[in-house]
Amino acid sequence: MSVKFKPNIICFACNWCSYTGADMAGTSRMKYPATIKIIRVPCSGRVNPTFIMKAYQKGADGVLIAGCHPGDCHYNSGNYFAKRRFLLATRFMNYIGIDAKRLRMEWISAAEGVKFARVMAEFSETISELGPNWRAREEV
Amino acid sequence: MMTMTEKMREQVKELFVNNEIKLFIGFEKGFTKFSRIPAFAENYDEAKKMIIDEFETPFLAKYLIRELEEVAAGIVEKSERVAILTRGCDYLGIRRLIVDNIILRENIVIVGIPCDGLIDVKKANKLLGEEAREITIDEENVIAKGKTENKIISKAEVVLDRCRQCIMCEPKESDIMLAEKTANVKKNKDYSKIEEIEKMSAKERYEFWSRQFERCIRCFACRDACTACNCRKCIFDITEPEMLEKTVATSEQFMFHFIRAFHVAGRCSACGECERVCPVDIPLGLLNGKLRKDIEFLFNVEEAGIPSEIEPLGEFKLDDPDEW
Ligand code: SF4
Ligand code: SF4
Repeated sequence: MSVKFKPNIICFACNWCSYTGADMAGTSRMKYPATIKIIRVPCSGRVNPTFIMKAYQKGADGVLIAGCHPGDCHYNSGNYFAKRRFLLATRFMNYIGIDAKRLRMEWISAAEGVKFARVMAEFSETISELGPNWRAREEV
Repeated sequence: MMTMTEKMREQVKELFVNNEIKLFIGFEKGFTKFSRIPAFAENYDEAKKMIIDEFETPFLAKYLIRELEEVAAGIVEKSERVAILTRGCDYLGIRRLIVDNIILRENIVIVGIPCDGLIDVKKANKLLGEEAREITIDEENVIAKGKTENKIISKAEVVLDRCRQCIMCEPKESDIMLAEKTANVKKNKDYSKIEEIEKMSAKERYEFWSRQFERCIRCFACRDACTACNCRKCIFDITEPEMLEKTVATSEQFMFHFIRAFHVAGRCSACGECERVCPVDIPLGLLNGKLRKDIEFLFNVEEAGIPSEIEPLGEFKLDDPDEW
């Protein structure tokens, strides 16, 4: 009997937009895959690239960073800094051999419950196709 | 003509006689014939052992933290100054510390040395085919003396790899300059090795880096030697949260190297000291170089190695690219 691979996805969602967007998706009774585990952060700028590596190490198959649309940041510019860091970190992770497709950044506002559900479904699909991540993952 | 060593002695004497400095940091002969180690002098007599030549030297800038950080932080109130021998790469390191407000420019006397690149004894030995007993260096050539035969090698052939890619051959500003500039060895930014790795498949890259990282003994020498790594409390030392665990595992090695490299992203001045001090020869320059290359490419930075007041990751532009 073959067991279907269920990915483990970590989503860092910013408190002001994306987390509220997730709430929105929930209160509107929209469905999105249960493979996604949301970690609430004050701002997408709080996401240290180290968190992403740590997630991979502890068994994540994919990592998604969700923040406010450019210009909408609660702290004015946090997401712009996050973007720079993310651009560099993605390329760097790719360079040391971790597939860049496993990492994604999305802008999701508090009103975009639909987008939230769609992005989660899409990303979950991508990761399911890629299969489990064994690179830089701790052996248990 | 006076050699640089003689000129340095003269200057050091003057500095100490005029009571301008409390300490002079330079180089002296090390434990083997061609090795050079840091030397510290609190008076002129102690400075007599110091030499300047073109063998590979350690990086001195990091010692300034120990000597001057309390003065800069206002913990002790002294206007003491420290003089330091400075090549271009050292200057970038010193600049890094000044920009980071770790030390103050007015406490430092920069004694500048123009540099054509330092000599890699290993390369000379390889070309000679045996361990050289004597190596003399002149303007353009290196003469390596073996057991029976001598070999004249052009300098360009035996210059250290990191010096080939030097981005600053002499300090941009100095208080004392020991010689006129002479740039004989051609220097070029060279990302070809990095491009080679980029061309591999993800699997090959992972395997390549696993092979490299597995050797790492996590001695932290690379961190300790680096001027960009100047935090008082390092993420590797704190246990709450424990970002780096103590387990010996590939994943932990990846964690360590990712954190180390990314923490100096946009701050690394390409001095190559981390690679030099690594006891197991991990090509850390290929990690730092990749980050510099990407910063230059993504954010339109001309030379990522030169410390700026605001770091590339500490600012943003509205037209930053959307896709990596
Ligand atoms: S990371 Fe290495 S090359 Fe870069 S500044 Fe630090 S010691 Fe020098
Ligand atoms: S100096 Fe080399 S062995 Fe030591 S921690 Fe750095 S990379 Fe690892």
